[in-house]
Amino acid sequence: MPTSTPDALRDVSVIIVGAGFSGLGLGIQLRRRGETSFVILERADDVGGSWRDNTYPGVACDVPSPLYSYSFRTNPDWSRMFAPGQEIWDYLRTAAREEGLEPHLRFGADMLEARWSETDHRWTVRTPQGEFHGDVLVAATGHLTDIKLPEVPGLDTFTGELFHSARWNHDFPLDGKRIGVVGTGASAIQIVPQLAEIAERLVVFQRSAPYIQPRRDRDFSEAEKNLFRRDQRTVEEMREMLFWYNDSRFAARRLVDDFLAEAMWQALSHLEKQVPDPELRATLTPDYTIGCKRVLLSDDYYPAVQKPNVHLEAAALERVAGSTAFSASGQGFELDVLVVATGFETYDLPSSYRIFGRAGRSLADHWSNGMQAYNSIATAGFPNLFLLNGPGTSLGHNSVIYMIEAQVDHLLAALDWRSAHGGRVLEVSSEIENAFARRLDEVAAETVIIRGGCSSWYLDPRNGRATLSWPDFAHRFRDECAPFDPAAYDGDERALRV
Amino acid sequence: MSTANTLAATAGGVSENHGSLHIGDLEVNFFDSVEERGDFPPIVLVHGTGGSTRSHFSFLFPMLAARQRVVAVDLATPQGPPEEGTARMAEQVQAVIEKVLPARPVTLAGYSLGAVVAATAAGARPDLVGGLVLMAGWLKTDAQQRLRNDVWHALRQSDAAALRRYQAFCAFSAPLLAMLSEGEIEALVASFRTDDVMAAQMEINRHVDLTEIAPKITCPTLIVAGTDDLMTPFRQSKRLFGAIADARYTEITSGHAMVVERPAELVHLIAAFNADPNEYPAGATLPARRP
Repeated sequence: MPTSTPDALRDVSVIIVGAGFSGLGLGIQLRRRGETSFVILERADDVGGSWRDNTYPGVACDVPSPLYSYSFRTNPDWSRMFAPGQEIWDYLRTAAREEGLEPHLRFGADMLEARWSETDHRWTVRTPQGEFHGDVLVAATGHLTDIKLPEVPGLDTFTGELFHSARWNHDFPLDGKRIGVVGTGASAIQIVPQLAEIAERLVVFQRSAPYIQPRRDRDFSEAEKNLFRRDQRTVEEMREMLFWYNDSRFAARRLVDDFLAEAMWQALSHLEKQVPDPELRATLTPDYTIGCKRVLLSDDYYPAVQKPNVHLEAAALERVAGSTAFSASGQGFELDVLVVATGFETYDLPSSYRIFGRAGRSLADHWSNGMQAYNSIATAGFPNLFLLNGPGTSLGHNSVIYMIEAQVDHLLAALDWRSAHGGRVLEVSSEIENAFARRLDEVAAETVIIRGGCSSWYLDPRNGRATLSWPDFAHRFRDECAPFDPAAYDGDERALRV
Repeated sequence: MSTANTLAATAGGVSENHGSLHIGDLEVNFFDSVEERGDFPPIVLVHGTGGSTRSHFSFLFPMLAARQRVVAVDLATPQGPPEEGTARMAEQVQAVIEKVLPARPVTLAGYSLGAVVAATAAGARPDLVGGLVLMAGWLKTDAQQRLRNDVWHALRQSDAAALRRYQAFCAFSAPLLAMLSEGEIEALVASFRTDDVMAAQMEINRHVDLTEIAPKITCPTLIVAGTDDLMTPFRQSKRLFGAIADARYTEITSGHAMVVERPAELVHLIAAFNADPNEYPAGATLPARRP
């Protein structure tokens, strides 16, 4: 934006922070409804969220692509069932362009601070690109965006090359190097098979073993893609089949015996088939109930850790001294490179320290006992603030895009209602927010997230609450949280549907 | 019944109580999730031909019980004229409701033959049933169904292995079967068992006729049809839609075995209907679900 022209979007009805799946999804729906008074603030220089940030070798989705896309913008062109990250990023960039979002996007516009004004009942967002003012603030900031480094003594003094999986250094050649990978989560198990091909020696630091099920990936043939283009219903039917199949997997998360046993069998028979050595198999066998942490899909991780140049260290990285990385078992490894694949800040969101509601109180302060929001979208003391893909939305068994779309529907209805009621301020009471959170805690208490015997990124370690998770069927989120009921915003607890 | 003692003692925080009652010389078993959750009416489940609570509702029972009380009846197969079979079975359902859930409206949800039984109970005793869900049901056995029934009986006499393959072929949708590996197909085929009880139920199936009963059903009713159902084709569900006054209709992309192919979608439909039976008016076709 040339600084000489005044920015027409300095003052809008809706400010959206973040241009990932959530922010773009909302932006597309607003555009399709003919709305023009909105701006999307993005701290990076392109759209795409996680799919822009994660460029590590082997990056791909672990939700089938016909489902991991907008229902209102199905894509006949996916190359395979689990599309590579680049394709997903391209999908989002194309969507932003074709849906006319470019004029609404402001890049390099990191939300430094967002503040509610008690006097004019509006939000002001301060960014390096100047200030933006809006009636409604939408935090579409995600929860798998801010990287988390492990607290390991000496890590910052490592003399080799060190980077996080979501900040991959493509300029550093890895061929023939001695590489350490820290973590065995969703990113690590995609990275390890790639690095095993090129590293002289690869050490994988495993704090706890993940459950891994067969990936069942496959190419879509040209004939299939052509059919998808000619008959959109075919794509939709595949999407529906995948959605309802995935949703049925929630029975295992709710610890229903038969379905839990089936999920365990799918993972452990895969392990047994791929890893003949009983000792290694024992090392790779998780010590908690399946579903407590994210269940991973891979056909090439187990083969990779059995390669002669790969060492699976069944202990976490404990300290680093010079070029030596020591595991908790005391063993040291000389390394040229450390790839940190330890995930993201999930329970204590950095964005919450930048949002200030009534009386100048920060969202982080409001959430000091764990993040929560009425309907996973609205918080007490933060008028006209809506959260997308924030607390109470994460799923272990289905597509988060579905959750985002349900939230967008709630938000659009809320905006309509505001327009019809003279732009009234929408704010929930603490009672409503707490009642909703209590209900989710009760439901979560009957699921593997709480009862599975693990520590996962779904849990807030400060209080043991599953603040990030939606502890139920995905479809129930739409049934209960997509409808907008103004009574809830007036403090009527009967409006609670959960 | 082989099911009574094998159902898991706890499932997803739901503990089930098993009980039974006697009607004449028939013993009728039932399961009760006991705990009342929320303000919704209890749901009573009735299984289909050759099935049981365990084989047809291993998903629906615990997952519905997460939000409301659920009772499921294991039907006992009556002797006597097959024309009277569904009425005798409906009496079992009525007796369980009167014993376990007296003096309160329930939502009665039947699948396949269970749908016919549930509709019969709702027509006979409107005082017991506040809402009705008919999954893969039918109004009156037609020539297509009798033809299938003929083949079933003929194979039962001549070729047990072929009968199992035929049952798998008829029960599941073509798209689902097409996706399975050879090993998965064989496992599916092997899971089908037939016995004299099932043969007796197949004879009852031959003689179903709800044309007199359907007009007596007055409660809100949800009719769920499988688009790819060979055993009770969706047009049969549409006939129920026409025959029951306060009915609404929806299809799911599934074969007859919808309790296995699309159980989560059924939980959605039943739970939403139970929470608000009149969300859609009589005569409505539910909007397509496009997740």
